[in-house]
Amino acid sequence: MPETKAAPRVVPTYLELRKELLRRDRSLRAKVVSLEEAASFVRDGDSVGIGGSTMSRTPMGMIWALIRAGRKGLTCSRSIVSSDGDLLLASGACDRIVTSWFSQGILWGVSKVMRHHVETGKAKFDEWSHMAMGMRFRAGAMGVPFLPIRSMLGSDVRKQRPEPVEIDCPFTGEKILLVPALNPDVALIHVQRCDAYGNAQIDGLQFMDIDLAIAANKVILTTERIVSNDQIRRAPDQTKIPFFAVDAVVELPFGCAPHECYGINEPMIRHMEYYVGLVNKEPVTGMQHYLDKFVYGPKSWSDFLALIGMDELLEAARAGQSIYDA
Amino acid sequence: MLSRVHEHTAAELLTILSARQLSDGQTVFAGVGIPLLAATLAQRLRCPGLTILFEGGVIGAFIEPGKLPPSTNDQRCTKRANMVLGSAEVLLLLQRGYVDVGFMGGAQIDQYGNLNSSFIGDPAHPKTRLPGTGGGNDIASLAQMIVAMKHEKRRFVERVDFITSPGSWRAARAGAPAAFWLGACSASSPISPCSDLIRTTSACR
Repeated sequence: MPETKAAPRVVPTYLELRKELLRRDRSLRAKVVSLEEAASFVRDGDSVGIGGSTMSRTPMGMIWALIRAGRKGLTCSRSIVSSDGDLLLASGACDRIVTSWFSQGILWGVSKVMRHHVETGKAKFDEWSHMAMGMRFRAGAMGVPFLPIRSMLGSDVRKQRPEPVEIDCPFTGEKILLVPALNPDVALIHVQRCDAYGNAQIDGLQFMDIDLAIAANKVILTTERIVSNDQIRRAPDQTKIPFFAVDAVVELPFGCAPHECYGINEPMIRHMEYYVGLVNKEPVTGMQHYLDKFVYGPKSWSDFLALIGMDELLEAARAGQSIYDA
Repeated sequence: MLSRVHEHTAAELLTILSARQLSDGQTVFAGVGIPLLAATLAQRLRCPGLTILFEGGVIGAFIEPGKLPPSTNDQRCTKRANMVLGSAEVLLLLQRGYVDVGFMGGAQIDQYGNLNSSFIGDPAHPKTRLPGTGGGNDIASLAQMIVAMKHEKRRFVERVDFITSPGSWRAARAGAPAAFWLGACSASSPISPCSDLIRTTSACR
């Protein structure tokens, strides 16, 4: 057994995984809580999986609430990380990001906030290929300890990571890379609609959210709208996450702001440009200013939206809904 | 955009030259920026049957002029597409082999076609931590690749500081499937299967 050194802590045993699931109340029950209550479902030091990708369907409201609740020492994983990662690192909520790409967005080059924290060693940025991230969540969702992939081989991305194991395929003899399952302690996912039980419908791009929800040991949903169970049952083919995987439901309109939510709003680009201009100029003081004004300052999420401004909100909503135009 | 001769940016020129590398009927996995722009241009000018895939989870994208998506994960990418699916699913189509050409940019490239989008300087104490691979490593490992980037000394180096996405020679040695392009050349392949193509602005100086 040459590769056992990292194995026990990288992936839980099957028994541990099943025990975690047994601990949860998976009955058909209403799970609606406030944003602040939902934040208490996340403990300091947790491994947190974040839904959406880049500036799309990011659970920004939930992340905002975790920062306000003063969470510390989180390890956050996501397919692609945008300004959500900046906020998590700069606020001290998170000290390790696990992802395939991390900057605010290709429009703005390299995030100075990410650079500041990673280059000074204040935080870790574990880089995996995009498919590797997907297969890690997929393995977690399947209840298996790893999945084989054909990328990352021969790259320094692979060399930097101690976790994956390269083997000769027992059937073909080809080289193949085993990537470990990722079962976050808690997943944060924003959806367009769900019922009080947590049956969640996702419109448009799903990213890795379905695997993430099933892999995680706890799931917090924020949703544009809580609908009746009858409405969910009218279109069950649209339901992407089943209620028994969900632990908390928070109704949070424009819950991805200033990022995009498919069919609801496009990114609030003027706010993003203001943000990037501020923090990429001064990654410490600019960021502190942003956190004070937009994260710690507002009394509520609506108060935060008001700071972004009605014009920008309506403009983003109009563009968001235009996806349904012919 | 390109209204008068001699009044164009290097990026526009690169987009047009890159677009000419694509053929009708191909399935292209496009990254954000110039690849996305070039694939869209090709689709509108000469290749109406070009199928564009995005890592956000889109098959058969038709980007609207004036509504370029800020990344390949935005709702604009899905407009008039044939199919919307999960990110892992679209990357697995790449692994299964349904993609003819991977089309991407990068911060740094070397003579072997190795791309770096992770670190400038020593990775242990980097001068600059870059955003990372995204789907770049998967595309480079699993499909023939066209790389479009500005020809600058600091970008076109002898050896990249860090191999984020291996060129086919490197990938082949490691046992990645890019070995196919080196060993067994497919006669039906629309672009030269034995050499990945690097398109830079220098070609037109």
